[in-house]
Order: sequence, then C-alpha cells, then structure tokens
Amino acid sequence: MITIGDLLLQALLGALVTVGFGMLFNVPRHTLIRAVIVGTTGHIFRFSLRSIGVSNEVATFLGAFTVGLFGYWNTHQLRIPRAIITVTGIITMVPGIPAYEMIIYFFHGDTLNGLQSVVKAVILAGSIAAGLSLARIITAPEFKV
Amino acid sequence: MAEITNQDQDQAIITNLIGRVGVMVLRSGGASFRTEDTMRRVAKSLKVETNALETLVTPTVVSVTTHFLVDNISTSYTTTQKVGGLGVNMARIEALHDVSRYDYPPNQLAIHLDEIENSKPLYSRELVMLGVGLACGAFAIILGGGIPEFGAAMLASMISQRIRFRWIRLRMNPYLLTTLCSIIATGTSYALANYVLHSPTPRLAMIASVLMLVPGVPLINSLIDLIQIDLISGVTRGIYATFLLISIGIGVLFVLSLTGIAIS
Repeated sequence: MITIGDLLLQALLGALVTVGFGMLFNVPRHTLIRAVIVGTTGHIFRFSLRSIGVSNEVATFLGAFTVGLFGYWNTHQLRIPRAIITVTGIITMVPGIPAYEMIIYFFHGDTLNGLQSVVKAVILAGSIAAGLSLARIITAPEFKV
Repeated sequence: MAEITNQDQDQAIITNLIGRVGVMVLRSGGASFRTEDTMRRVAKSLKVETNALETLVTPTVVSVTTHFLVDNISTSYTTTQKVGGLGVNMARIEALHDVSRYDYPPNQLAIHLDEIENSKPLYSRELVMLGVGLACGAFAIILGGGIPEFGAAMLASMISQRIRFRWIRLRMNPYLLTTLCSIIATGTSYALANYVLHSPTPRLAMIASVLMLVPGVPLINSLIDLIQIDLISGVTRGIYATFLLISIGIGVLFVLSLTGIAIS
C-alpha cells in the first residue's frame, strides 16, 4: 500500500533526476521547468502502477506514453521540439538493474542468465521507445513514413 | 572552364548554409527527421522550395543538393559536410528550430548561426556537476537504496562528471572517455559505499553512479529513426549508442574484477 509520503518522496526523486539531466543536456530554463513536471509525472505514474502489481514492462510503457503525451501538450503551443521534454522526461525509466545484472552474469560465465538480463533490458528500453512512439503517432496526424 | 557566376556563388552560399544548419542540429543531438525538418524550413526561408531541395541526412554526414535556374537552364549545387562529434545540447536544437522559422537573408542567417555556435552553456560546470550528482543519487534511491547509496552515487558521479568535462574539451575518443569515466564512477562509488558509508548494497550505488554516462539521447533517437524506416540513421546511431553502453560495461567489469562482487 503506497502512502502519500511514498508518493512525495518519489516525486522529489523523479524531479531531481529530471532536473539534473536537463542541466546536463543544456535545456533552457523555461523548458526545464516543464520537463521536470512532465518527467516527475511520468515517474510517479510508473511507480504507482508498479506498486499495484503491474509488470515493469507495461508500467514503463505506460509511463513513457504519459511522458510523450504530456510532453507534447507542453511543447505544442510553444512550438518547441517535443524531443527536448520527452527524452529528458524518461531518464528515470532507464533499466539500470537488468543492465548491471547482465554484466555480472557474463562476467561469471553465466551466459544463460546473462542473456535473460539482456532481453529484459532490451524489452524495457523498447517499452520506453514504444510508449514515446505511440504518443507521437496519435498526436501528429501527419506522422507517416 | 566555366566561370562561376554571381548566381552560382549565391547558390553555393545558400546550399552551404542549409548543410551547416543540418550539421549543427545533428551535433546537438537532434534526430534525423528533426534535422531534415529544420533544414527544409531554412531552405524555404532562403527561397529554396521543397521540390528544389534534396537532402541526405545521416548521423555522420549531411548532403544537400539545391536545384536552380541559370539562364533558364536547370542547374544544381551539392554540398557534403561531415558532422564531427555527436553531443547533446537542447538549447541549441531549440535555437536552430527558432531560427528556421524566420526569413533571414543568407548573411544574416550566417551571423545568427555564428551566435548559436559560440553560445556558452546555460548552466555553469559546477551547477551541472551538482545536478548530475543529485540525479544519480536520487536514482540510487529509486533503485531501492538508502542514504549511504545516495551519498556514494552522488559523490562518485560528481567526480566522474568533473573529469568528463575536461576530457570532452580535449576531444578524447568517446568510447575511451566513457570507459574511463565508468571506471572512475564505479570505483569511487564502491569505495565510498563499502568502506566509508558501510552500505549493505554497494551495487546500487555503482549502478546509479554511471547513469550520467548512459547515451539516452542517441538511443531514443535511433529507435525513433528506425520506426520511421530511416534505416541508415537508425542503425548507425544504434550502434554508436550500443558501443557507448558496452564501454560503460567494460568499465564496470574492470572494477568488479578488482573488487570481486558477486550477484546478490
């Protein structure tokens, strides 16, 4: 059962990660504020979904989808390229642990588990990309090959 | 030998400007579709309509061809420009997007591009270091860590970022830079977490401390390019991002082999 305290803490953490990377990416100040709001929202949404038992992959997909939609809503009016907010906003969803496990397993010669971690990491990264892409497809009707 | 008429020179200048804009967007971390879009807008503002413009955009090279009429004979001018390094500079992408929306004459556009190219980073190095430190520290807690992991990841990533700034300025090969910074971040976070802060789970600090090296922008851009069936850009960018990830892994592996951490 997640408490308000949990949510507030995750909001702070999500905001710190997003603002830190926003500065690393040289995001302009007015856009940075919006990026932090979008990134924090995506992170809290993903955290809440995982807390109620949704799988990591689906939660990440829906979180990235939220970032994509909310990010588009924030950038469309101001005619700012949406990638500035969406890419900064999904940094909290990077699959760090499966990537690390992959390294450890291969290091210890456990190829089978290593490959399992590789697949896990790739699927999670793919979930992020799929979420952002779906948001892009449904918000840009001129989006075509 | 054919003489270059005034019109040819103007066309050369215009075509080169379009190519230069493309290179600048790519160097700032723009995806290929974003780059082509900006180039197309700039071309339009320079009176080159979309049907008189051909572009080839890859992460490493940009080629622009413009078609124009000289004495009613159709001629074309092509420029091919190398991109150089790939970085991330969102302010620059925004500035170039902005510049492309107005109709500047060529010489004024060149001045604006010079301004953009010479613009300083918006945040001081110290501020970026602090931001990166807080981000990696927060990520350690998101991964399930506590205060010790936060502290170790924060300090280790700040040190690694400081050195990274120096090496970027020296234009070190990105893979070598990433491997070395990964060693510095992982080693420092392990040492801090294990010996100073007595963390029960130093691996969380180690994972979080290399977050600032993860090539998020090229990775996402590669996937976006692939989904839009821009295979050349998507695959090459993907390989670049994958090699960077492997570089991080090599760094982590090196530190693990010294410290002998097992999966827990």
